[in-house]
Amino acid sequence: MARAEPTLSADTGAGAAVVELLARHRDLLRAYLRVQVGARADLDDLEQEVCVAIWREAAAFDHGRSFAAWMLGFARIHVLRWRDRCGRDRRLVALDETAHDSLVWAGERLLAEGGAGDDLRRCLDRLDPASRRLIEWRFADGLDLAAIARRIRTSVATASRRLARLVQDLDACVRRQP
Amino acid sequence: MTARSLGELDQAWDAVADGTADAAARAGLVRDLRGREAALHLLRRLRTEEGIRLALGRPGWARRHRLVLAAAALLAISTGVWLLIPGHRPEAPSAQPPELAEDEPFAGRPVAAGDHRLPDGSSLTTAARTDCSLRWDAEGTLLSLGQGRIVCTVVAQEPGRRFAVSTPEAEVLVDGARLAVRRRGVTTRVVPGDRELRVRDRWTGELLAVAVGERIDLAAHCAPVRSAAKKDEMP
Repeated sequence: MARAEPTLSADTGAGAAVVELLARHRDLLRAYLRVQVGARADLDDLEQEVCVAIWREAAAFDHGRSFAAWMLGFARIHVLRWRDRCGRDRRLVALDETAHDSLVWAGERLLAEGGAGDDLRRCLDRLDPASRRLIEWRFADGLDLAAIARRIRTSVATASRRLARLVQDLDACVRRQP
Repeated sequence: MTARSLGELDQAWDAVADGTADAAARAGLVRDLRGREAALHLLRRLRTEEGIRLALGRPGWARRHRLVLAAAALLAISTGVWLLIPGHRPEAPSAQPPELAEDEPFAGRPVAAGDHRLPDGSSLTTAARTDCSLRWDAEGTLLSLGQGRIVCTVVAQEPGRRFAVSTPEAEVLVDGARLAVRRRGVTTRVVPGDRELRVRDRWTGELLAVAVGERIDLAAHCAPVRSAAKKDEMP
């Protein structure tokens, strides 16, 4: 679903427009970081470091360039610094340049579709109670798949597939929104 | 990539996300992500998952006015302007030196790392390398946290007095409660210990209720992030 992006005209100001873009695509930034953070729980701290860096350089953003590439480029630099601080944590995923470039390409595609925001909340509200419960266990309570599988008395693989399908359905629901 | 291999990619990611993937599995994930189709598939999935986390944790997180306010606030701090709640100025020296008991060592001074008892009977623990100062006067007690972590057990306040913990991002008014506050970089984390707390987001002025078992992160540039408090950070 394509939506009008904030423009970087003189009356809005480059900084405010970048902050708006960042807010709209915060889920994309977090997704990119999540790929590399893996099972570590400090995604919020890393995200905030990246947000600060982006805002400080907001005025330098050239609106002729891809915002996804710019934002994820900042994120990559900060992830590399952060990895240096974390040492050899086996939960981290070390992207190479090719994988990063593929994710930037994917990010540009997703950014062109627009942010989910309120549409996603509407789609969540339409879930049946059992599906909603699964989603909340996984994404609000942070349960791992093994714990969820025990609760619904199924295998980890089945729980994984059900959740993946629910996430796909929610994504499809968001994209169907007018 | 075939539908089956996208399914395998999902399973590989699940193992990474749950911390059960070994080095070979993580390297395999990176190899997959070199392909655009796999990168788009996984990023789309994770973007939706992060959107769900944000939607469940904080309704209305993407409202524009919040971010514009936050931007203005960060600009203010970057130019040295200190935003304060009216009538509450942590850095201002007390006009009148407080009347303190002789054995009260913390009035108007930086607080060293360790355990302390405050003039009103509350207790305070400051972690190593914590930058924290205390003001105590007729209006009440103010703890200003610059960096680091503090844990307070605050006694019930007498009428007309208040106990506040203040950082550039947040202010918490406490009355008979236990809490932990951590500031790292430009982020303040507040964790209630035994009762719900109300935390003021300095950048928007919004008063946010934080329940026991929950924590809230406030930063100048992003909307507040709520999540479950970890056992080891509960005060």
